[in-house]
Amino acid sequence: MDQQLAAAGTVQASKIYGSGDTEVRALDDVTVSFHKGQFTAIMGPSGSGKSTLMHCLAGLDRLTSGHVMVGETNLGQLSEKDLTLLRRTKIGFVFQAFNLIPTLTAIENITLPLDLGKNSPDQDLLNEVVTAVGLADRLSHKPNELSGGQQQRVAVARALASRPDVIFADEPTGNLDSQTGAEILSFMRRAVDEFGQTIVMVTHDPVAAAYADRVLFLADGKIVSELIEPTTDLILESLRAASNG
Amino acid sequence: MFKLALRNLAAGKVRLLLTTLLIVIGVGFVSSSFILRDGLKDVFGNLAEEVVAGIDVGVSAIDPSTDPITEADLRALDDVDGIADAVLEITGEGQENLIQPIKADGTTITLQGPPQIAFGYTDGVTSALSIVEGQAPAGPGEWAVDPESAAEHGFVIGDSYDFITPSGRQNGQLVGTFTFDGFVEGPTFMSMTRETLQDYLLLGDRYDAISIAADGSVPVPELIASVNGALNTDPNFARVEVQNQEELIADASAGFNQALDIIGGILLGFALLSLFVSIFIIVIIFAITVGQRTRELGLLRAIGSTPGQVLRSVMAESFFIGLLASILGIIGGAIIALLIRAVLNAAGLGIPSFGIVIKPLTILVAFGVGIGVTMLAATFPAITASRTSPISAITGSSEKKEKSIARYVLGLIVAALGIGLMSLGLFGGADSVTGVLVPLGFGAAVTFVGIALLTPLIAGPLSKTLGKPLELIFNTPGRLAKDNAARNPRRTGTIASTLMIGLTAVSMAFVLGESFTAEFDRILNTSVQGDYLVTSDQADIPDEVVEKINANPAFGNVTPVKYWGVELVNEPLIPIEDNSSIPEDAIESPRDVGYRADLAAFDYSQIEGLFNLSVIEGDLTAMTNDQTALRTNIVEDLGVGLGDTITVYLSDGSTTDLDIIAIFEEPQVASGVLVTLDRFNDLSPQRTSDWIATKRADGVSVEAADDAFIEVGAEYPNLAFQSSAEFRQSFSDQINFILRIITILLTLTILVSLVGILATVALSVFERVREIGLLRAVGSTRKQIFTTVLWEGGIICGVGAILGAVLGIGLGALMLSAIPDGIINQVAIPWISIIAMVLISSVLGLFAALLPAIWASRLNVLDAISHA
Repeated sequence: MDQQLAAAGTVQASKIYGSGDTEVRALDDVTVSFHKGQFTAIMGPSGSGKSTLMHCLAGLDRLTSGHVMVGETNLGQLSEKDLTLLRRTKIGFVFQAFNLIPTLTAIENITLPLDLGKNSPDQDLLNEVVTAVGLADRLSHKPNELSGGQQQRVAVARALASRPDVIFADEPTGNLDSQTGAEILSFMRRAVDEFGQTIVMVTHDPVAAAYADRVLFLADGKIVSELIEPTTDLILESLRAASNG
Repeated sequence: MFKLALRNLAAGKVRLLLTTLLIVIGVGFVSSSFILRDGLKDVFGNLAEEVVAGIDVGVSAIDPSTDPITEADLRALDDVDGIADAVLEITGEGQENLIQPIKADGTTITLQGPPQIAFGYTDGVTSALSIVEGQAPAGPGEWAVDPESAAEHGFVIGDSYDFITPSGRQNGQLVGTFTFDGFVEGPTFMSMTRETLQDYLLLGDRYDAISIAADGSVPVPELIASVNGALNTDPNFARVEVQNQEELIADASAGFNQALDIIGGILLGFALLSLFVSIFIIVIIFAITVGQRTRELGLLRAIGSTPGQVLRSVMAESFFIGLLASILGIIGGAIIALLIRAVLNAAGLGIPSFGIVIKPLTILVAFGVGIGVTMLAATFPAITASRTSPISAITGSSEKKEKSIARYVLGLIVAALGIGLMSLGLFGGADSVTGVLVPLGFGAAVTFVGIALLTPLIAGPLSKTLGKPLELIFNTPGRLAKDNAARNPRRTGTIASTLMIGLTAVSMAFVLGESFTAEFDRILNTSVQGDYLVTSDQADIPDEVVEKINANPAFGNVTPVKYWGVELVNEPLIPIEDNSSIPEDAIESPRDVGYRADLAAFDYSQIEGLFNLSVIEGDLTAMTNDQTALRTNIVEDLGVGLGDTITVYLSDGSTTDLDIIAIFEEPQVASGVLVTLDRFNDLSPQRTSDWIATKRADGVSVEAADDAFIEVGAEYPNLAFQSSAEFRQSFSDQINFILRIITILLTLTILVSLVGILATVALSVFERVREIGLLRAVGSTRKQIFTTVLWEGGIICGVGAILGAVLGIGLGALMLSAIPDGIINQVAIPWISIIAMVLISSVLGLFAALLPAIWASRLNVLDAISHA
């Protein structure tokens, strides 16, 4: 294992759907670790297991065998309710779309995980996040009054506001045009650099992945390669190599 | 497209289940009203058929009071050929409950339940009677009873029992039990010798009928002709009616059939109300599901379906649902009919058991109503569906913000129209009950549609207000419940308005009941000062009761109170009978056409301390037989005053003149025209009292007077001897009994609304699966999701219940204002009952949302997030 402290990780993680002839190994003995304060991208073709890996890491799904750690916690030992509480406090989410509750305002969406736990938000942190996200004047707007990019920024702000151990982002720019997508990615980059936030992002897009500190490539449920300090060109090259290999 | 419609049915199982359930309840309730009626008609039809099975020809008097059947008529048949047997009958028809046996415990059989029927014992071929145990009644006073009643009321063969009869208290020995062909359980059947009954019923030498069995030598029509010839000797005047067997059966069942038609009609009314409620809910269910299928409908349009085809596919789907539900509804109707019998019998109505009879009309109505209502409800959503644009296949967007102004304007117009219709019924001066009820009922339905269109205006803000406390209690889940309920005001409003309809009806009934009770209390407090009252539900109060009270030193003043309807006509006199010949424009005031008022009589010398009639002019305590006192409104209507003379027409057509010696105001107890008891007895055929009031004598303790009153009452177990407080209580008990029955019948309507709430909440959860997934992902526990969904249902119910209570109070007040002040002039609102009802409905709403809430809380997070 790495010398650096791990925010989350798996040990010999396997996820098997079905059995016998229809058996599918979505994850096949994956051991991986995500370092604190690092921005990791997970790439791979459809069906490579990248979404399954993220879901298992985030406590949305359970492994068939192996372990998932978030911080000091082994997720396999948690009850459904404890998993929920873990998601509320230790994990942040940014989905591709439908990130926000339509009846709540932007600020209410941001503080939703805190409100669910009846915790009052850290006001300084909240101000900082809101300022950083650049939505100070739109906080009382409902999601349908915000643009797609603004909605995603609110989603990132929500993920940041509870200071989770790790944020999982599932194609966060998949529904956005490249300009807006770039804004969101820079913002996530800043969250890592300025707040020391740990982010794990699943993406198809080599441009998006290039914002990360490290890119993991998955195929057939296994990690096949890894890039540190990636650039778009390097990523494309690796992808080409992976699909040829 | 039919294939597609069927596929859709299979796909939307929940929708299918809920919609079908609603229609099944509605159709089942409607069919049950027919099944109950037809089943009971068959029972009574069979009874009538079997009772007259041995009778080929029946003879009855056309005017029994002036020209009855006597033994002379039987003798006149001696020379008629073709008669095997002819028997004089006392049928007991129209004389139910006149002869009441007193049970061993000193009580009578309750008059609230099935009737007590006594008829003359006969045997031979015309008789359907047969003795089960013991002997046939033969001597004076001897009687037999049906075995069911003997067992139920503890009558023992060989023992003697007292009877309350029109001729006073009688005593007779029970000699046997009997049954007859076509016997039904429920009523108490008694049989005695015909002479005993003539004696008890004060019939003299009168009989009710002659039953004739033919010997077969002469065809029945010929026999009827010769019986006619023998009895109707004056060719210009028929004094008896001669009927064949079919006519006898029809006659015997006519009364039952009429009563059953009324009961069936009332049930049908409640059934239609619940169907009306179902329409609202089905509209919503279809609208939601059409919304959910926007992408699919858009795809259909994109690949070339015409809007017409889409419309027809939705309509066809509703047709199949209606068809399926109608079939199930008829089966459900049979079960509901049996349930209704059980419930009403538990309330003491004694409905006999009946076979399930499903007539073609029932099937026709069930299918008509089931398919009709479903397709009607589906029409608007189907039109919306047909307007789906092909592009929705790609965008999948169904959330269109429609301009609602038109809807609200329409709602206002429709509501105004409905209120106008109701007012027409209430204040339009209609002279028949139908003339009032038809515009009233139709107007109420129209008003509800109008208000349902308007409810979205109120539903949003009201949901938010109701949700406020939830937000404080449950925090974020409460906040989300509130927002979700207020999110789609149109849907919340429409579903809430279904509950509103049921609660409007219940709270209106509560307001009417409370107001009548309050008015009754007011009368007792202001007009009736006596300490004790003798009253009776159905039996007559003989004058001897007054004498017995008078003879008892425990009591002071005592007076009977008697009522009788009269026609009043002051000068100029125009006979009432000629009303029809008076041209309409000649009628200027009530006296031109006769004036209808009620005659009442008191013992005015005793009235001090018993009644306060609010005499404003003159003095009535010394009234003589040629004098009268009038209420102020009659004085005004007739344009007469103190010292004038009025002419009173009696029901038999004779007139009498009365001098006005007093004018009074009391609106309730005293009726309009007061005369002396002697004069009343001259004028009215009624010999008995409607009620009696008395008071404690000076110096007698309350306990002693109470005991004395109970002692007098012990001799008359069929009369109610009550203190005025007990009397008041029994009145409010009666009102409450009626309210309970109404509430029970309305429960079904409320049940339908609750199914609607279940459906709406469930479908809302369907729509928000992804949102629920997101909430779970960011840390909502299952319990929090459960709370959110549960209270969404609670809030919708609360909105409906509050609207219903407000509307019910308003409608109740409107109806009360339509009732003349002489009958009731106040509106009393039972706040506690109504608030309790609102709370109970909201709790029921939570129960309705329980299933969707459990389901929502158990959603798999991953599936929910990736739900398309």
